[in-house]
Amino acid sequence: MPDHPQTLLGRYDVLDWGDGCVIYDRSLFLTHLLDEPTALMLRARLAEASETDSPAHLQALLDDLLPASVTDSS
Amino acid sequence: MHLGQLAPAVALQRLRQGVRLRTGPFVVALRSDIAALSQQVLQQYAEHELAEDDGFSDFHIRITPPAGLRRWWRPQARFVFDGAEHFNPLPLHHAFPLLEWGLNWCVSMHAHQYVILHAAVLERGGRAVVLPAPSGSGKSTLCAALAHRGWRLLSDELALLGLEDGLLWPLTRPISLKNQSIRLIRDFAPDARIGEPVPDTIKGAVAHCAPPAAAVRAAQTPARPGWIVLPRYTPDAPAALTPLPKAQAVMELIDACFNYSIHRHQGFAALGRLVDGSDCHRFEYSRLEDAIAVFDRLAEADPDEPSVTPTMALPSSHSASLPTSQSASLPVSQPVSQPASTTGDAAP
Repeated sequence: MPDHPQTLLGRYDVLDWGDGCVIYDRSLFLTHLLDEPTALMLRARLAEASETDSPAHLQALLDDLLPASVTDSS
Repeated sequence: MHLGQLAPAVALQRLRQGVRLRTGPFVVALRSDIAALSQQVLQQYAEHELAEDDGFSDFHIRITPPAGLRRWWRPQARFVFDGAEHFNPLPLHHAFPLLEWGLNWCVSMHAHQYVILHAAVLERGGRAVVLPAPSGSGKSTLCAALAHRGWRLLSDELALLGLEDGLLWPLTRPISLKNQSIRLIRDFAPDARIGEPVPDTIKGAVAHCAPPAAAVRAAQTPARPGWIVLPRYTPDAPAALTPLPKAQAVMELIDACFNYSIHRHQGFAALGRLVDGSDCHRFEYSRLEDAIAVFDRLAEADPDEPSVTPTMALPSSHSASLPTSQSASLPVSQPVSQPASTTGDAAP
């Protein structure tokens, strides 16, 4: 249970209670709600990203997971 | 000293000249030469403390008739804030609702030391319940009922969440009742001080219910979060809580937040902490007595128990139920709902 959001890449604040996940994007000033299946995928891919320790890899997976319409709205 | 401790004639004169009322963390400098409005202020703010004469005022408000013909023909009331008019005048008999709506606007547009939510807040046993709800959900009716059955009123319209301390700060002011809810609360809480209904406002008939004296006197005491409950009146429905996923609760709070776009990631973190410290539910109800029983059970539950509360339900009977339609609750700018999965402010 999070006390504070976990911040990824200095840009994404993540709150994850295990019943879905919310992410605040500091660059686009947008908040995303991920449903539980998508949140599960994010958790799995975050674990992969931590192994490879690649910011580019992490950014790519977040770009992939967050709704495309969000990028368009910028 | 409280406003109600002044002799009525003195209080009316003070209101004409300007009076400084303490409401929650704010001091409101209020001046009006509309006698009918002043009488309502005396009724609704009788327990509010008078601030010292030479101190700082957060909001300078004047309710006054316009100059010229409108002073006499179809008379109107103007809301003047810091010397400027931000709203169109309303009919003179709408002066008290105009004051309340205007003061809501003043707080929600300026008090950015808080995260501000369109929500009622009450407290019991040191824990606050936050009731964010869209217009017509029965929030104010439920709030008035709880406030007269052992729950301390912190606010009917605006939840003030401390950015740093994560506490809910009182803004104890009159509760706005609409249409059939006026009679309902009169019957439910005969001791409630409810003003005369003001007909034909943009919300229909509106009457204000004065906050209980004990709640006003405790208006400097914040409460820690306990529950977030999204109420919804549904005709004939049994009173029932259903768990609300915390991630979804964050999004609901963002939709109810007036200044999320100002606080950005700090606001996100503050709302996350609020949800983190709260049990989150949706709540459907039709009968106030049943609703009160459910809330009392919530308050009696051990706060250290696991946060996922099983659905609680009470049978519904069909007497004394709420009206089937309720009007809007805030005429000032509302937070705008965002698409289902994403919300945010304008792009930079």
